[in-house]
Amino acid sequence: MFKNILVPTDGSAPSIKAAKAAIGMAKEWGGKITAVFVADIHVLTWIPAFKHYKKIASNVLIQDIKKHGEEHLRKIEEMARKEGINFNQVIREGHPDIEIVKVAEEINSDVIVIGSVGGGRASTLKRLLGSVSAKVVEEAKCPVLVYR
Amino acid sequence: MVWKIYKNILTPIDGSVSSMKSAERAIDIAKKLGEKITALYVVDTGCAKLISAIEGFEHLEEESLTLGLEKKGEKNLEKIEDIAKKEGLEFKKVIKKGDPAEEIVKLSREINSDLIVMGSVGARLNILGSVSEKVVKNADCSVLVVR
Repeated sequence: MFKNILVPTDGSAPSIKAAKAAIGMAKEWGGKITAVFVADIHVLTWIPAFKHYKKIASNVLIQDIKKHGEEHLRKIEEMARKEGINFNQVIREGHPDIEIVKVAEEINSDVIVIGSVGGGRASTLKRLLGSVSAKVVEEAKCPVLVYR
Repeated sequence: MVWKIYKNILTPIDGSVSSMKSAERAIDIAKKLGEKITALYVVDTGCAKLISAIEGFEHLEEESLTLGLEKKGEKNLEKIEDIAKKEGLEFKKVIKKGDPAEEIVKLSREINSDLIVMGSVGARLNILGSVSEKVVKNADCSVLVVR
């Protein structure tokens, strides 16, 4: 079964729920967890004014976002440790979907467990752009569990 | 922490090798974590319509194509049924007609499934996005896409 589990997190409620499920699976199947946080500043480049001070601001911003990510990862680590699950963490910069798929290949994960807002609850904009989870499903080489 | 056991797994098949593999995976998961499994085959009526509209394929009538797909679906469902029964699982098979992604999401709501297990290849020709992508976006429950 799935022993090497990758859990992407952005700190959102669905991602925490997915992390809990992944820890449950790791316990059930005697596996381990790797949590990944991707610092994404590409969204900010959509704002025209951001382009002018991008170079100055992006370093500060990236550090800030990463610090944020570390906090989310620490929460998942605590949950995993409590259940006695082997835990690793990875922090990356870039597009979330691309980095998640890359990390999955690097650690040779058996499954990616990713949270998602589903069904009628997803906003129209999100449906049009395609969520990170949908992109990961398309691009990953290993099985993906979209957890709801 | 209570690990949620999947009680009601839906596994759609389309007759491709990958979907048969994912159905076997679903049975494996059901055996370990669940109780009941429902296999679904959707006769893709849009696909039948499309083929019969291609020049040179007019002799293939939409109805006979639909019937052919239905027969294939029944055969594949029986294969999965054999495996599930051998594992002692509660098994149900369903055949629907229409758009695969829509029918999968609809049935998962009807039977209140808590997990959909499906393959990801086999639908790359669909320019509007694969069936699995549509199911991931629209389903209310968890979706496991296997490869």
